[in-house]
Amino acid sequence: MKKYALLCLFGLLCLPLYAPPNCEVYKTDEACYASCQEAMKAIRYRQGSRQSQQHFDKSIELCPDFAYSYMEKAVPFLKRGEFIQWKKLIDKAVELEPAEYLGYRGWCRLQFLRDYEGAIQDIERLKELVNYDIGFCQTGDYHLDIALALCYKELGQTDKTRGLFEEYLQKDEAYIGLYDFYHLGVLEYETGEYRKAIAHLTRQVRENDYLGETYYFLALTHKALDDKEAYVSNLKKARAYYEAGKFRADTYTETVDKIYLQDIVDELEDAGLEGF
Amino acid sequence: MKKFTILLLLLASAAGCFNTEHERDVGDIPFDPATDDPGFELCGPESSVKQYYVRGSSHTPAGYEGEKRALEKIFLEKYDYPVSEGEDGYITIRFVVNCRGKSGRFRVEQMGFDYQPKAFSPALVQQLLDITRSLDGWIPVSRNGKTYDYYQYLTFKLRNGQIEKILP
Repeated sequence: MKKYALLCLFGLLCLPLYAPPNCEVYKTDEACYASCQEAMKAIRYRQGSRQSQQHFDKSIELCPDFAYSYMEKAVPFLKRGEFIQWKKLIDKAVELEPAEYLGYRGWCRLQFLRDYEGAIQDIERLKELVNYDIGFCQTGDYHLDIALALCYKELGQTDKTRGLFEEYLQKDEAYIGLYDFYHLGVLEYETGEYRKAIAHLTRQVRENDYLGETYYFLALTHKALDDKEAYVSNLKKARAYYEAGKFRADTYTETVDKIYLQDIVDELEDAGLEGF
Repeated sequence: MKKFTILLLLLASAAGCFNTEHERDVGDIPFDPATDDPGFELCGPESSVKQYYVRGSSHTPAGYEGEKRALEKIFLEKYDYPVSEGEDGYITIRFVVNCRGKSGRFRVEQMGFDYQPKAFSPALVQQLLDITRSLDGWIPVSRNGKTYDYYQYLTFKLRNGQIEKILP
């Protein structure tokens, strides 16, 4: 099962970000149909390879309004740290199909550059533009409303953050993300709402008991409440989880509210539990 | 001789017609004798250099000893640039880490918060570059116990000349 999961992950990393377009819908437009076929050739090659990029160029040349090719051509620049070039290309895709690519660009600005203001602009604009659910971020980890909340959290706008979380999580159709209650718990801890923090972090454990980070913040919250026993036990659990590989590890970048083993070790030392 | 010259001119002209943008894969960093340390060597061929984010059933991803906190600590201790209005934006340093964890072929991209090219103070850039060059805890990508060369980058989000965030 583990192997299967890893195989799937590997497959996802090698595949293009978006599902390829159905070229048949362009059949009435000869140039754009050919452009779409070129894009299909491009994605058969390794992402970012010379051959792949050449096919995307040809695709764009044939149909300069074919947004998909700008977006896919941009991806390797993003992943490999060439952000000026990425932005030029993704801007073109957004210009051509804003409803399709605004949410994606916004998410990338948060994930790769911590450009919170830019991400907020994109996601807010998408919300104004469409009257349907704006969907999830590219990694599938968060609904874009939660991604928006995380941007406000990082900008220190706690009321706005709390409001967005509550608004989303109270919806009947809300899909609870793997890390939603973790972030909400961290927010409440950071703002001194310790009882709420415990409630959210405990809910996080129920939803996804796979993060040492959750126990780390549970420990800090209990410490703030002078509950030494719960503080120590959660801290020990945080370390045990982390060392067992149970922690958040994004393929590309550091996630918001990320905690590392050193943070837990430092806290254990503060608690007089060095070497535990 | 005249025929040879014409042939040369034709060849040069034809070369100019090719799209040089895609002679290599995106992000590749070929050796530049003008700027790069000739003592830095790859373990494998140029075409086999992986990306830091490579994953697979038997791949162990690249990393840094002590994780990100260790890296942040080094910059926190060594980076010392005065608060400077206008020194805002991103500096990205791309480089290669070889299979032994040594780094080389550093390239710098500077951009403002508007994603446009920008020139930061050379002294500021140099500091970041020097510290990045001094990092010696890189853990190469490995597969079934064998380590590989890979591309890595560090992006510094700067405000008033101060490091706000190190990515990725």
